[in-house]
Amino acid sequence: MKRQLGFTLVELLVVIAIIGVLIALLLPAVQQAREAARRMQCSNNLKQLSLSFHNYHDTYGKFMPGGLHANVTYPLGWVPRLFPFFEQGARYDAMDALYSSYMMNRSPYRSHDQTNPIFGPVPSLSCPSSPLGDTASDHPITAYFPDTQIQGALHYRANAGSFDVDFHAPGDSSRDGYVSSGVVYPESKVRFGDIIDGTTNTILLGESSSTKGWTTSRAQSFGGIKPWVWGFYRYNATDWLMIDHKMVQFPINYSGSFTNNNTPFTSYHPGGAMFANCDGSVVFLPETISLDTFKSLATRKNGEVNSGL
Amino acid sequence: MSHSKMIASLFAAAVFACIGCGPSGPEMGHVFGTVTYEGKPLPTGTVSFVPEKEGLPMAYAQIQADGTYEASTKSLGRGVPVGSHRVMITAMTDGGSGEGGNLIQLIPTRYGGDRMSGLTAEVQEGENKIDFLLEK
Repeated sequence: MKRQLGFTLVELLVVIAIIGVLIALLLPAVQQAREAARRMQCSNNLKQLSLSFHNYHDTYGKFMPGGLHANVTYPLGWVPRLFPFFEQGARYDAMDALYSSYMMNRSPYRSHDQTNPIFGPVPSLSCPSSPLGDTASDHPITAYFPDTQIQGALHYRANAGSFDVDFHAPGDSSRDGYVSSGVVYPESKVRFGDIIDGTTNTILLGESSSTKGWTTSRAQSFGGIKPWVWGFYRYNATDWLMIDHKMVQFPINYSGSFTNNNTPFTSYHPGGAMFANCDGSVVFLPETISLDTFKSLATRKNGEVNSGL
Repeated sequence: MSHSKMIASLFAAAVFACIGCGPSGPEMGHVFGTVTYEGKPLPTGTVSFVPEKEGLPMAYAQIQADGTYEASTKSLGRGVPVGSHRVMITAMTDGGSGEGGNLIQLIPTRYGGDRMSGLTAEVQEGENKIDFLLEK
């Protein structure tokens, strides 16, 4: 057989075609690299927050309540109570220096003082994938409240529990009920010992950082993605507004109609959202997760068996 | 191996790679109907179908102003996977410019839970007219 020298045109074309196919496979992956990095940062935020919850528990022996009997309307919720545990202690001290017992006596949303040093973005509270950004207006402009203020965004909501378990119907039927089957809910005092489903199987924090498909009134209501200065509201002993903590009623990235206490967990990460469990682990739950499984992850002591996600 | 044979086998491989699998997925039924609350059509809201069988996608429907709906899934388009479903319905309306915007629920809260609502739907292949009559 005669030995060939060099390449024929066909061989060259085949090599070029193969390289072309390989590049075509690679390019979409390159587009995903930035999103993967942002998701990693989001997961790191949740990790820091859940570790701060652990340190809070080490100090006080229990998790903070989602709502309590405060002196003001629209008081602050779990976020500022966690400040000293994720190196925002200076912000916490600044609040108390501004007004005595700020947490119980002052609503930053109500008292719009421009010199307030606690405003502005707070590290670890916003998801970098969300185009909503790290700040948010504290409420839409209305006749009662012509001044809005830009506050630090809050893209992570605490888990109040499953809608199906320990539901408390509202006294006034036009309001939402609340649940007490999760970790942070009105007047909660949950300890690690109370989480008998296992801290690995119970959600602590979930991501709520996308308003895709929501109507304007839904996005601007209490169920919208409010800044951290909105904690909760106590109408009376049975009726509560849960703003920085939410119950699990709908699937992830649900865009249908909802009211206030049941804001769905949403994100701009393709296909699901990030969650932190009570043991400090951070997981990505797909939006296709069965609603039953999702709800069972939200309860702390219902004894469900979760066989994979 | 001759060049022509090599080209032929490469071509065959390329053809196989392009064919892939045909359309697959669960069987779907077309689901539509009317939602009424205390006898009157519900003017807004969402109907969600939660499949009893694991692994099937959920289906949603936006209720129109005349109370009618037509369900579809996010991933598979129009229709609802065939089988039994638990149904949850939520409806709220904008109550004007209260603090932070004010949403008023039009139907009792329990209808918003797939296990609390007591509503179910049996979806067959083909056309399914399923009406939901909600009471206080």
